[in-house]
Amino acid sequence: MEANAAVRGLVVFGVPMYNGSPYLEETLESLLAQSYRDLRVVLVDDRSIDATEEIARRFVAADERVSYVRNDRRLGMVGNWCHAFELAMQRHPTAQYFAWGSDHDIWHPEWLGACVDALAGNEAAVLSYPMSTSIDESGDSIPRSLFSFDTEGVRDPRRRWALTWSGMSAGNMVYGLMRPDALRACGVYRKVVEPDRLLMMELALRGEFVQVPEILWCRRRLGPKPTVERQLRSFFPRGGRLHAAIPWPATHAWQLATHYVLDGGTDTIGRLRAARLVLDYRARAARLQADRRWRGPDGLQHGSRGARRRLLRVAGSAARAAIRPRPPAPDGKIRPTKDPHPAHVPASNDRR
Amino acid sequence: MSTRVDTHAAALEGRLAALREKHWWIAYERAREAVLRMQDLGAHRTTTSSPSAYWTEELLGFAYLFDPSPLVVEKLRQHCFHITGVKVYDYRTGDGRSHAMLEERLRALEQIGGADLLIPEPRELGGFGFEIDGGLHNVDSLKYSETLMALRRGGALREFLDPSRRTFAWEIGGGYGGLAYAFAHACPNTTYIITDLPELFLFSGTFLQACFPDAKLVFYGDCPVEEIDWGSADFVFLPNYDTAALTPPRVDLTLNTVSFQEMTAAQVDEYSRRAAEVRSTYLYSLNRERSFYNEEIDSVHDIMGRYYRLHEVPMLPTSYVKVFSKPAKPAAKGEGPQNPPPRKDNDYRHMIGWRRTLR
Repeated sequence: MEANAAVRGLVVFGVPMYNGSPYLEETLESLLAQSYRDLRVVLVDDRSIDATEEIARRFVAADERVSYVRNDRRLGMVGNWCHAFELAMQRHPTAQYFAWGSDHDIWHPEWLGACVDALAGNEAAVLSYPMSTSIDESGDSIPRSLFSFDTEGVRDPRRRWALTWSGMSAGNMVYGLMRPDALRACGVYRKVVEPDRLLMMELALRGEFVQVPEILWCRRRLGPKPTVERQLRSFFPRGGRLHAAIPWPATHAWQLATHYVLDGGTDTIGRLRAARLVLDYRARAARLQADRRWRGPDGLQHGSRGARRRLLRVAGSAARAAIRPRPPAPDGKIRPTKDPHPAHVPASNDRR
Repeated sequence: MSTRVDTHAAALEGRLAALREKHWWIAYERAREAVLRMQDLGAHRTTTSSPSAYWTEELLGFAYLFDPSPLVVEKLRQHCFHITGVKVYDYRTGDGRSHAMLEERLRALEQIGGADLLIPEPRELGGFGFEIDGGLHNVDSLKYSETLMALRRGGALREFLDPSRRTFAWEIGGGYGGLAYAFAHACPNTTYIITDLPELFLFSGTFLQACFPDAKLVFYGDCPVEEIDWGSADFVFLPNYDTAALTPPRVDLTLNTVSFQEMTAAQVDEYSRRAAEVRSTYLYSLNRERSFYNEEIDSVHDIMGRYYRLHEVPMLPTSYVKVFSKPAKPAAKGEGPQNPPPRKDNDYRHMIGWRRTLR
């Protein structure tokens, strides 16, 4: 810990907010109760119409570490997250680390100290995050399996890429502590559906992920799982028709191709390898999207789920590969076909 | 006959004279002088700062410490039962059952809290306990170790454990200095401020200087409050009647173990409010809602909750006061494992409060 003290530094939280007043006070108290004291909090209000502004202004008056900005116009979730990052770094340019906050989750007092130590102790790491637990609207625990994933010590970016795809829980990890330069190099938060998934994949190319093996974050689950339609509404309040028309795997692949192939690769990945990764990503993402469609908007498998499971149990691994779920046919029926690709393991821990 | 008496008397005088040269006796004399001065300064106590009925009775019990023999101070720790109720008699050699029960709790704590925060009882001034792993342990020392562990589990100790950072802790009701000792042992780069009834500094002022001979102790009245160099002091002693004197550059943590429950509601409110005023990040408490004999308060935690958002830190299923209780009856043949007894509303609870920014 002593060795790390030299490279510990200011941390800034960018907190995008939108109509989250019921939990805002408790959330901000948990951020300000971090045992790691060298922090600033920049609250960015996307024109809330509830009590968010009033609560935020009272925090600004009570704690000099907090500042507040109300957007001139509604930016939507993706825009506001980007704005929160840019404002936070603009106001605190010396910050060594950045993290997004929220207006409803709970940070354990050790969250920041542990995450800072994790990054300060590993120069190759670009992101650190703890284990987390889920709570409901009233703060009661929601039983879930613990998410456990990191790429610590994995030097090969392609290996990190593959591991991240299969192991990430983007919705949790995006609230981790990041190196601002790495985040900026990844475009901060690209204007796509599922931007956190894309960000994690891009960050994986930039460096390692370190998970603190302690439960230090409570994610509050509000309402049903977000559907693509809901994401489109909240992400792009002024449009997003293009995103609605084009499947997200395609937009992700396009973003990756633009930034890593056309504009040149990263320090560690050349254009050719980047092109291969884009193709790989496109294929994986398309399979994931199809799998989700088959499961339905509530994340549950519909139709012949029980029958399929029984069949899989009997047929074993050969049958598993042969009747992997495929995209529904236009008539809505399941169309089992042989999968030409190696078995893909969906991100079992991804709670999105 | 007369010669033998004279010889013994002379030997005693010689021994007493030698003890008066010890650093702990000098520390005691300094503490007593400071206490008497604080009593003078606080002669016009307000109703709020007057001791509760519970503590008025307790203070009378150790008035003899204003004029003790060095032989008493040499065993000061064995007089601390006035404060914590823990007696040396319970730790006699050969009491295998008690030894085993204490060790069982120690192992349980070690398992959930880590061996690094198991701080043994110091041997200075008559320290006592059962020898376990080369250290003395008793109910008090385990209680304070458990407190450190609860603080760590609650996330409040991380910065204190970093020796490169100066931190500030404020304990309300420091007792004989047991928690201060354990805390300073684990977190040496800390200014530890104790607010208490001045009479209690006879214990804590002497005990802490005896345990840390090189430590810098500052007593209220040594100099004007505004001239206290908080950053260089190791221990600062402030009387309960002047909470406004608490003016360090910042307070990272406020602690109270087992004395909020013995105070009046107004006192707990005043201390909690003061902790929030000085922007103490955390308020830790190990208390019941109220002591059984204290009728001047209803709920410690309700009052703390006005200023701090409280979170319970689960530790062991039984509190430290039940270390030597009769062990649970083994399950009869055919019975399943016994569940722990249901929690009572007035059990001791480790609580960590996060300061409420908006009140």
